[in-house]
Amino acid sequence: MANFARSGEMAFLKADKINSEIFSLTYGAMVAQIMKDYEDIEEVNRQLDRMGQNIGSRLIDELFAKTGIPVSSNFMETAEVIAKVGFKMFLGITANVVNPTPQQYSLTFRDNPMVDFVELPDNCANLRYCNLLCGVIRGALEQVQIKVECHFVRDMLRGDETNEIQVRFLEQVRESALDQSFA
Amino acid sequence: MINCVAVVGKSNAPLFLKTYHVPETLKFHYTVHTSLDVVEEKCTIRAPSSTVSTPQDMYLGLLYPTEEFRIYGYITATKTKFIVVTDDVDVRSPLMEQFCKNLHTLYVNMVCNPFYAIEQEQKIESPVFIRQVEQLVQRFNEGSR
Amino acid sequence: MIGRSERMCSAACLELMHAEMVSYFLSARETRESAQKEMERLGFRVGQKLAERYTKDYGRITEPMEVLRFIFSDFWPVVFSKPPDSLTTNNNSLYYIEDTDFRWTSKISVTSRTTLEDASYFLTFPCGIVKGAFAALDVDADVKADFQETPSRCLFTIIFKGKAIPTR
Repeated sequence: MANFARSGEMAFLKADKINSEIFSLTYGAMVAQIMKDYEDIEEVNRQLDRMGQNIGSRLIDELFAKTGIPVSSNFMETAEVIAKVGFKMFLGITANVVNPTPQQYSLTFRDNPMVDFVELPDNCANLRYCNLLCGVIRGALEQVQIKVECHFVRDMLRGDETNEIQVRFLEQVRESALDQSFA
Repeated sequence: MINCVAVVGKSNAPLFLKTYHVPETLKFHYTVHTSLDVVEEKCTIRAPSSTVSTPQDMYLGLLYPTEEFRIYGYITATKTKFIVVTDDVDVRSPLMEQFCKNLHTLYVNMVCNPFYAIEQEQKIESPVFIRQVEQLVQRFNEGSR
Repeated sequence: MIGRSERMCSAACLELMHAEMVSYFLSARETRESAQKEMERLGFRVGQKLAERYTKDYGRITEPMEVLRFIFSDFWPVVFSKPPDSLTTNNNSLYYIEDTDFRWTSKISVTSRTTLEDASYFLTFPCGIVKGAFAALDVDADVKADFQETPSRCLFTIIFKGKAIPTR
C-alpha cells in the first residue's frame, strides 16, 4: 500500500502540471453548458459520466506507462491503485478505500480541486457535479477488462461531510466481448 | 465601524450592497453611486514616480468624507469597484487596505463559481460570499474598536 | 506577479477534458460554425475569470499596451504552460503571438484521419480564453489562431478593435 502511495507521489511530481483552477474552470464551464443543453438533470449526469469514460480509458494508459505498476485485473487490487495512484497523479489528491470486498468498494475523499469555488444553484438538486469522476473510473477499469457500476453516494457540494464514490463489480470481460459492447 | 460594503461592476452596475448595524437606506445607495465619480477621477491620476508600464495601486484610499461617514475605494484591474463606508473618524489606512484586499480575494473566488455569469455582470447572490464578507466586516469592526 | 497557484493538477486532465469538449460541441451542434462559436464563448468566460484571478496581485493595469504585455508575459505562460516565443506587429491594430510548442495542441498527431483542419478546432477555446482576458481588462480584441504546418506551431493573431494601440 505504501508503495502505491509512493508511486502516485512520484508520478505526480514528474507529471506536467497546471494550476488546478484552469482545469476546474474549464470543467465548470462545460458542466454549466451541458445543463443549458439538457433540461433533464439525469441526462446531464449521464453526459458527464460519458465524457469521463473516454478520459478514463486514456488516463489509465498514462498511469501504467508512467508508474510501471503491473496491469492487474483483480477488482479488489484496483481500489488502492485508483485511490493512491490515479487520484494523486492526476488531481494531486488521494482517496481512502472504504469497505473493500470482492463485490464492491468505496472511495472517499474530502479535498477536490474540481469543486474549488463551486456553489450549486438551487435548481439542480439531482446534479452530480463531479460525475465525470465516475466515468473516469469506469472507463479506466474497462481497459483492464473489469466492468463496474460507479456512482456518487455522498457529495460535499450537497452538504455531506465527505465525498464517496461507490464502485460495484459487474463482470470480468474478455477483450472481444468488450469490443462488441462498444459496437 | 464599517457600515456599508458595495461591489460595483465594470460598467457601474451595482452587484452587491450590504449595510451592517444600520438599516439599508437609500442614503447608502446614493453615497455609493456618488463615490463612483471620485473613483473615476482618482483613476486618471498616476503616481508621480510611475511610468506607463508600472501597474498602479488598486487601493484608492479615502475617496471623500461626509459629515457622518468616510468613504473608501478600491478598483481591480478589471474595473470592478469596492466601496466601503465607515463612521470612524480615524481609520488606519493599512487596515482598510487589507480589508479591501481580503474582499478582493473573496470576490475573485466568487467570480470563479462556474454558475456565476461574469459577462452579464450578474448580481451577487452567493450565500458563501455574503457570509464571508459579513465575517470580514465583523473582524474589522472588532479590531478598530 | 502571477505564478503557480497552491493547487496544481496534471496537465493531462485538462488536455483530455478539452478534447472531450471539442468532440461534445462538434457532435451536439448542427454546424461546425456554431460549435466553434460556442466553444469560443465558453473560453471567453473562462478567460475573463482567469484574468480576474491573475490580476489580483499584479496591480491595476490602465494602458492597452500594458494589458498586451501582461497577457504575453504573465497570463500566457501560466495558462498555456510556457511563455510564447515572440510578439510582433505589422501595424497599430494587428499583433502576432507565436508559440512554437503550444501545449494545448502539441500532442495532436496529424494523420490521414485527423487533418490539420480537424486539429484547428482545438484552437477555438484557447482563442476564447485570450479574448476573454483582454475583454476583462477592457481591451476589445479579436483573437484568431492558425497552425504553422504542424499542430504544435501556432500563430495567434490579435486584432484590436476600437482605438489603436500606439507602438513604441
